[in-house]
Amino acid sequence: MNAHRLIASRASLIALAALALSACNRESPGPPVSSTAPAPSTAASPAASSASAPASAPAQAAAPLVPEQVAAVAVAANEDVSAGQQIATQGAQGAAACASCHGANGEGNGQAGFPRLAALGRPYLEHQLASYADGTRQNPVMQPIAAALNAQQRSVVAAYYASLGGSAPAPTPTAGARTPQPPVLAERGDDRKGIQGCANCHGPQGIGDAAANPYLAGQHAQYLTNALAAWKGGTRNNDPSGQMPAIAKALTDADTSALVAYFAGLPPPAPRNQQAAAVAVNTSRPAVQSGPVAATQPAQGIGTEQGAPLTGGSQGPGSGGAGTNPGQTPNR
Amino acid sequence: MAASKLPAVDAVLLGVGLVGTMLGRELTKAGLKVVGLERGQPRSTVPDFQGPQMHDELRYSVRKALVQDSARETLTFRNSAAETALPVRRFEGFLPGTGVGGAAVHWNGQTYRFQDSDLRMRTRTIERYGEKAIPSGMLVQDWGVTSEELEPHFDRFEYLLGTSGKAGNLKGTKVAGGNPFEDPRSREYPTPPQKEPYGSALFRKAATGLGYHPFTQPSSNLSQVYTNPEGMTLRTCMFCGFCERYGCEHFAKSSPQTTLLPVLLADKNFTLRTQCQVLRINLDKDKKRAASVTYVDGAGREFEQPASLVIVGMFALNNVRLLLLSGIGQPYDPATGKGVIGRNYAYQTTAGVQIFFDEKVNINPFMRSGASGTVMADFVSDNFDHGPLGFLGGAYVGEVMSHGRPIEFHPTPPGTPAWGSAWKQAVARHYNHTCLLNIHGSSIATAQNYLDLDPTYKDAWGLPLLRMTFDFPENDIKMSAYITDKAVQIARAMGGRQVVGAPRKGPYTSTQYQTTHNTGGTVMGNDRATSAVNRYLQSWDVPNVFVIGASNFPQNASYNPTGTLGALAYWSADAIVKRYLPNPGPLA
Repeated sequence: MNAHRLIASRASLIALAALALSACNRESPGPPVSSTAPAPSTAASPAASSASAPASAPAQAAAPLVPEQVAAVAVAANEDVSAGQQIATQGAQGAAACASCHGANGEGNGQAGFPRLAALGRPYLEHQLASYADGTRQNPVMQPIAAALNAQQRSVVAAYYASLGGSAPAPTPTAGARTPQPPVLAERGDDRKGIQGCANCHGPQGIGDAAANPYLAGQHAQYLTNALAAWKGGTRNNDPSGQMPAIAKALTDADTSALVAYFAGLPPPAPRNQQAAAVAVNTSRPAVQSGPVAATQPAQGIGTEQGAPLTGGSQGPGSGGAGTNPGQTPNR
Repeated sequence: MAASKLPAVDAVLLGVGLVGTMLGRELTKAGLKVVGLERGQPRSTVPDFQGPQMHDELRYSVRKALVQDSARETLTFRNSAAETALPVRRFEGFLPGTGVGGAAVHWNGQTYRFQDSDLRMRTRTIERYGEKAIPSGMLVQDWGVTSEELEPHFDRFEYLLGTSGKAGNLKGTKVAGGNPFEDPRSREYPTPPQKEPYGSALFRKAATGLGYHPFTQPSSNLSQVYTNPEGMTLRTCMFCGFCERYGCEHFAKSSPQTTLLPVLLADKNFTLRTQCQVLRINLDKDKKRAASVTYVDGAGREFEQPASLVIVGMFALNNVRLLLLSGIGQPYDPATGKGVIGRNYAYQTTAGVQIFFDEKVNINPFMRSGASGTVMADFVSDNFDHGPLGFLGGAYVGEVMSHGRPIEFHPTPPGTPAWGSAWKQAVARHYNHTCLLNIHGSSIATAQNYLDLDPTYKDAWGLPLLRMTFDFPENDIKMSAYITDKAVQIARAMGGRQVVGAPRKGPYTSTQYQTTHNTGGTVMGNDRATSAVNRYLQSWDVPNVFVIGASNFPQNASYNPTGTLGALAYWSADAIVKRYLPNPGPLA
């Protein structure tokens, strides 16, 4: 399972980003989840509370099902990125310094077609390095460099670049200038060609996300052109969903030019840790506490939106059970 | 106002959803001139289903933008014939689709085959348990078709959709990894199984540990890019978490739009008319033949469309209503037990179990697709011994959470206040650390549960609404209690710190979403005294009318209905093209 890509398609769940980011701890860079869970020693254990236990019952020690994994998808605001910075600026055994091509601040090199790396998602960068190393993304320059780095080195260098941003002088629009009009393909797609809008994964105006979907805004035109050609030609084959090769093959040269011109002309996004911090601030609890903080006889956790229960499990395949049916008492 | 009479066509489709699209394709291929009448709007993946607009939870989940407009056309509901039914002003309990593509646009993609023990439920129940196992008042019936007869049509339908799954029984040989209880299938699924979310992996481990047989739920939001036999290419599901109640922006969910509709629309023999509300089927004087249908277009103009063949392929409830409005078949009367239209209405008996985990266990509920998940069929249908249990039917149990959307998904343990800061803290604490198990159970048809026309309430065109009289039969309450208890045991083995589960109990309420699986009312069978259509889904009374949908199910089974509905549509189309068209008349 490519957890990165899955996590990444949540463009519209930005409000939950703080939760999402913390949720990703388990996923990266571990092996597929279905094989990571150790045997639940709880299979016959009384650890799980009985169905009738009140919420306030002390938690009994259920054995952890998931090994603690350390790598975070996003770079924590206070994470030390100096190890990655060292590789980026000085290189490692067998690997040239990233900065020699990608610039001192990860701004890339437009003329040479070297991509901007600053503020790309850490999982995205790690996945690209792994793909260069294993040949699913072919590039004669990057392949030996990526192969010379071990997984730990790739992870820290990805963290470093994910923490950068705002460094490059983006093609700042002059005061009063309008945002360029997006091509129809960028926001809407084309039904006949079977192409969904880029925005579905790469975000509105190509801002990308903190995980597997790279920003397109402010990326260098030559690089974007090359990347689409690589998807189309098969030298880049590291999208486990197969979406990008299919999309690239359906694009005409004129489509590609219009999309590249549009995205390359937008300002690149800020670093992800700053974005995550902003979300965290916005979603912190209000200073004013409302509601029955210590109600003696609390109501059941049932809310409704014009009749539709909000407590979870009410929807989808019809899980209508505990706590979701006003007419029934749970725990029977 | 006199209706404008239009030139006659060979066939008219009432509803252009899944059934309408499939039949339209089969009939135009056979050379017929076909008109499709759809009450809703035209729509396609681009631009109608594109993000970020499509991920508007308020618009689609809460306000239900893709669902039948209850201000114009709804139904009335009551739990028993002793009550007075009142109109459903807002669809909550179930969500009939509207618009081109129908409910197959906003479905979840869970794609099963009903088992032979479902299709021949009466025969096989009596064979195994004796006559007494079916109490009077329970209208357990055979469908008139076997799983072996339907197999090629199941196969064809799954290959149309590109369903992702793993066979459990290939031509009689059990295959590891699939559903070991399924009837023999002729070949593998068209695409490999969906990825397994973490909560599903926990379920698999726990269920396996208890000796059950979990498998990956067959999914029609696809695991990889797939080109179907019609030449349509579908793409890979991105686990966006906005599946049921939404259209798919990625061409990844199998809907008419992604599997077939563009092919049909390109056929010069086919004409699509949208915003056309069908009022009735008009019969000849002797009521043995349908002559035309009457509909009102978006501008309020009334038209009469003559046709040699009428395919009724609307949502199950609307199929029933249209036959009642058109005077086709005898309406069911619960007092005498006579009549067939509206008889054998059934639903789905669902229940849920919540597992609240320690904060170390990250479930990532937002990272789901409509049909990803792991289920087990050990308690489905007659896969277990009902002898001592005192009920018929069963349920699948699985971890098939389809989403963790912010407005709808707020699992909190019992005792949590319903609002305020303590509630908010509980939501934040549990959002990412809660799993749900679904107990998706069968629904037996009874003499008391039925559909007829409401004596009081009318729709926007002045026609009587359908009236639903339904409550959960005692049989299904018992079934739910037994299997929910098994699910709670599995949930405890999954290692959560608290497990909360409750079986389904009556009375049924139409204001809480449970499932959209309304079935019956125009059921199929070999006996015209107990079925509305024959085994080819042809009206017993008016042979040039075929009624196709979940309204054909004599009782509802444990699995989700769409796979069986699609197989029946191909089964019926095959009979129409090969047998009816060369020699129009009763097929049985």
